[in-house]
Amino acid sequence: MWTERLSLRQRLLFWLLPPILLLTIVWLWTTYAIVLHFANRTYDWSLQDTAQTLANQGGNARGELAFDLPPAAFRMLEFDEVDKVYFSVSDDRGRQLLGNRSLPPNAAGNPPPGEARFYDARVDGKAVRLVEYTVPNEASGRLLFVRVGETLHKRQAMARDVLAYLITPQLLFLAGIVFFVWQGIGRGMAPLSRIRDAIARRTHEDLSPLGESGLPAEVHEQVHVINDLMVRLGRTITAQQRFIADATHQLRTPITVLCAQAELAQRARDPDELRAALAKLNATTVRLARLANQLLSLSRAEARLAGASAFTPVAVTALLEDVVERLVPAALAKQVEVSIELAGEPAAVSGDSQFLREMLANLVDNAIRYTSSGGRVEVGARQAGEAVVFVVTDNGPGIPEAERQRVLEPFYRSAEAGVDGSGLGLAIAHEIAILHKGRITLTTAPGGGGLTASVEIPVAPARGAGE
Amino acid sequence: MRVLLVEDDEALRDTLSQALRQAGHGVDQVADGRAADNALVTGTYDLAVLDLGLPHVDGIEVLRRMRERQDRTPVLVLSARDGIDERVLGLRAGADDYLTKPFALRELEARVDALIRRAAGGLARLVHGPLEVDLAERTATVDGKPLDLTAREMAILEALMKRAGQVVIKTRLAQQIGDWASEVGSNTIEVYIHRLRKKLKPCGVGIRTIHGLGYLLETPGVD
Repeated sequence: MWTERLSLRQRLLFWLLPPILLLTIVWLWTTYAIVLHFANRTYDWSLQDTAQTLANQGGNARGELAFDLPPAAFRMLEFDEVDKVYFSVSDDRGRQLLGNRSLPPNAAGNPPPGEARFYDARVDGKAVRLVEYTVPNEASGRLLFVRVGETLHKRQAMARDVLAYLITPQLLFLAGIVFFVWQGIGRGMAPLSRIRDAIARRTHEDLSPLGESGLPAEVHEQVHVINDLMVRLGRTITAQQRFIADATHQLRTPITVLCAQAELAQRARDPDELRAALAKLNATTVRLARLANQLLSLSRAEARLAGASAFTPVAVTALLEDVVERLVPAALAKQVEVSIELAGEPAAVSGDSQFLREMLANLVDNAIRYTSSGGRVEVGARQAGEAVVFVVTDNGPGIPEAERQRVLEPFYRSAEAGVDGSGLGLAIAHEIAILHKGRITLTTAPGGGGLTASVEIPVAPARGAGE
Repeated sequence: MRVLLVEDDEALRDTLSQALRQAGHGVDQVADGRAADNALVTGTYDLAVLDLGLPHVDGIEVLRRMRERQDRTPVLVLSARDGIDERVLGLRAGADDYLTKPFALRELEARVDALIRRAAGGLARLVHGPLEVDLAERTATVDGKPLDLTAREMAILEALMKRAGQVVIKTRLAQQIGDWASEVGSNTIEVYIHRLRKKLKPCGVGIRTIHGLGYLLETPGVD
């Protein structure tokens, strides 16, 4: 709509001005009607006076109907600078006794004797204001009707004047209202302009709260909400900056190793030494590649949290087999025994198979890494109500209870870890579990010692049920 | 020189100790702050290379405790944090130098040498008659002609030249060039001294044995 492009000030005027205009018109019309009413009454009274004067002339001592008026009196009666004045006197038989014109009777009926009634009618095709006066003739017992009328020029001229005199100040008044409303809106919205300027002046890094004092209640609320958002935004940005700083920090050590090993390799004096140096170099590149992948997974899982996720049903058994199959070589190299324990076929879970595979791979990989040679890693899944619980158990050193929550944070490494890890595996699993509306719990493995990582992931809704 | 290397990353620790050993230093390596603390209290080192992010006890704390004990061993701090605040914190806590990861091995070696040299009185060259040792380059020359020495022989020669004309105690010498992994015994020192004597003979510089105590670099032409 075109109103969408209007400024707030324009919108307020748009909503305020029509009713103000309407009210002004109503007020103007009412005033006009009242003034007209009283003015007309004055004219009516003078009309009545004329009729009464005429009536009082009626009748003589003999009780006969006789109007003995000198021609000068008639001229006086008829005289009016602006309007044409008509008069007539008739009896109850309809005979016109006197007058300069036959005037129509009051359609609403003749007034009782001694009373005057006003009415409008047309005479010679002109609108005329009339007054009728009934005079009882005491001698004959007959009734006489005295009618006096005049055209409306005087009244119309007066109405025009009244209107003109009313409208001019009214227009000034209206202009005054528009001016003050415009000013008032401007003043009322000054805090909004102040906030606009305050926001416009800011650098993109400044997330400090906007001043909340001296603001009207409505705006105060908006600013408070904005400030709230700023705080949350600030927290997210801080978390991201910390992530980048941590990630950089995490990358620096292996890169240093890589540089140093490369330099040592260059200094090698014989092929055997060179081969040994290159083998170490290779191990470092593998480690760096793994770290880079993990950082990527973590940021992907975190980014995915913000976006909408289209989950599909993922079969649990195939998922487990796929993950474990890939990690068997690493386990064998470390002489760690890996097995899958499945209790029946659990229902498919709702999720992203890529992410779920990554989550389990990280948990199993972690278990293999922290289990010493000759150890055991068991991977399993069972259905528990509306969720499937994935369980990865090892008989490694375990994690002290106090640290179990912290190891789920990115880059946290237990002081006892002692193994080359990035401190990202569990964080990735944690992030992916949250993404799937699940949760991860770390407990001591049954039989004491070792670690059990359990992840609950909701099952996929049955086909055809609901969405 | 005997160096304590404190670094929790195994790969980096191995690589750096290999490089320092190749440069002729005796290297002890520990992986956490607690072990570093113990090593520094019990042993004597010419230099400590200290990573800051350590398990158990933070590197800065290790450094602070060292300085509190009046331990003046030069410390080269390694850190992945490169902020000005971090550097200032490290230097204020008593570090002699600060190296940010990643760094080139050559730079580490040059800084290690510089720190050891500074501790020795700031000399870059030691001169003894026709014999000259460049501490920065780690080379020895006789009348301008290079002397072919192994890293260990070089280390012993340096130790002797720094105290030319004075006795260098044998056990200290063994400590300086050895480390926990390869304890250098008296016999080994004797072997190195023997080889050094042979290489130094042409220029008339002699090493005298003080029985039961150690060795002394003789001033040429004095006896």
